[in-house]
Amino acid sequence: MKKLRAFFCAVVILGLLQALLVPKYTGNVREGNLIREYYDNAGGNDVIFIGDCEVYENFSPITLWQEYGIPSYIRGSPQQTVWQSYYLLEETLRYETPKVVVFNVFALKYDTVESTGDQSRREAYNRITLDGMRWSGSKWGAIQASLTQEERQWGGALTYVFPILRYHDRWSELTWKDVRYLFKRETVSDCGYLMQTGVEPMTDPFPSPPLTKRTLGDNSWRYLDKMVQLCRDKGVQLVLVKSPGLYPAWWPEWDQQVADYARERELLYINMIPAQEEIGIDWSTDTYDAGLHLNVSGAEKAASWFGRILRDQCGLPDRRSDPQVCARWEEKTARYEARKGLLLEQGDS
Amino acid sequence: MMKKRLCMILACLILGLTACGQEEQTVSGGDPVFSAGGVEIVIHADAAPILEALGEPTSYSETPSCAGEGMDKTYGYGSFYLLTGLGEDGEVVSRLWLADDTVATPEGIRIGSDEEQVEAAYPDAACCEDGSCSTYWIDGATASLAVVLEDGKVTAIEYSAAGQTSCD
Repeated sequence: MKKLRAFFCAVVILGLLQALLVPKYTGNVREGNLIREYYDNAGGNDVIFIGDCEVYENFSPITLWQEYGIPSYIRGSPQQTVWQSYYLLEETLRYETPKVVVFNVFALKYDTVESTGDQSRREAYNRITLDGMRWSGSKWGAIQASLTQEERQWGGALTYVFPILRYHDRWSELTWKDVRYLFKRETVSDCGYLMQTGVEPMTDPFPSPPLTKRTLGDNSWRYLDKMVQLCRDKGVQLVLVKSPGLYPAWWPEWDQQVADYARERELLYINMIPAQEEIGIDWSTDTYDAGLHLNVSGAEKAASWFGRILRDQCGLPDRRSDPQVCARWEEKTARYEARKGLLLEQGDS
Repeated sequence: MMKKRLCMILACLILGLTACGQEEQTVSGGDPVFSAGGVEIVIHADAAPILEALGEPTSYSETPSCAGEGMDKTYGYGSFYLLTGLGEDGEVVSRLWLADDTVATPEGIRIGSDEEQVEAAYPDAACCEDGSCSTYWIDGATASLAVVLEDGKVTAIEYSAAGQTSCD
């Protein structure tokens, strides 16, 4: 009995230590909280966006609600790979069955874990996506698909099961915020949308590296196939989108392959890059980082334009006549407007 | 007694965990090298001494990385561009590409070279795409060199981290 009690105490103490040591993502990298915030908002969404920073920074779900009465949520995370998107979709469909899933195709350019670039940074991105997922077969699948070569060599999967093994050396970096957010963190997003209110105009175009891989890789297609199948099995319409943006390049060769893929499978594919003028994006006012991502003004324009497609081509209904849904979204809208006001005020001061 | 033992076990566990650091990443031998201004440039190398040796760039731009961890910086030197990012120990070289035919790889390949010259210079290069080889990949342990051809002529040359090729 005593041994059992001692074991139980050790587990509790290690659990507390782990909760203390894991990063809380309260500074510049707020993105670390995006994936976990979904669980408080799961259910009742007609649209789920899945993908990288081009979804969580470029579409405002509140605008979709305000203008079209479409409830939506963004399951986005930085440099989210297509295999991570697949497992996030699989997990999401256990919580709810939306009418439409929108997948941003930019991630198809990464065919393998190694092809995503610097591997220490890749590991950091993996953490941001995977540590936020609740435990399930989907999370385990995502971990297995995402491990870097170095992590595979020393059994890194275990550090996702017990994050204390990864973050044990954060002792010296601990701040009062690690204690404050030990059990409950602040909500950083509005339905998965990470608001940016700054303005940094695009001036000169960024020099773009040459196109060395004309063909999108087999592994990317394999996971996209799995997403297509998953959506078909659940009766969900999958829409492929290329979010507006000037950099990094989305090459015409890739665009053509995605367009062909979509046509063969009767999927809707919307490349928003050629429509930027029609959307009304002004790269001198609608970006906070010189053309990589949209700020809130741009994200509202993008959502406003895309909402018409969701309504007209996907047949999504207007839910604003449902009092229960309406009440819930009024609260979300109020929080969004308050956040926007605060951030704009901070930016002005 | 039980409490003491429990405390000792926990202390040992924490100390043990704290002691195990991650291995430092080093530049591996056998990686493709580019040479300019008397300095050898390898992907993953510390950027500071290279940038100092290359002198003032003719153009410079920076973009935040996806999750706000450091900046991706692009230095232009007229005939080539150098892209750096934040590595574990500071700014490191992450990509390099040639912009015109005034510079060549140490093996003598430049924009405009023909396919025969590429095959002679890189006899072990991998060719990953179907049909005619449009990109030759020269893989090292941690970095790759891509030589892109169109209509039998080199149109682009890029050094980047290994693993970009899809011929695995």
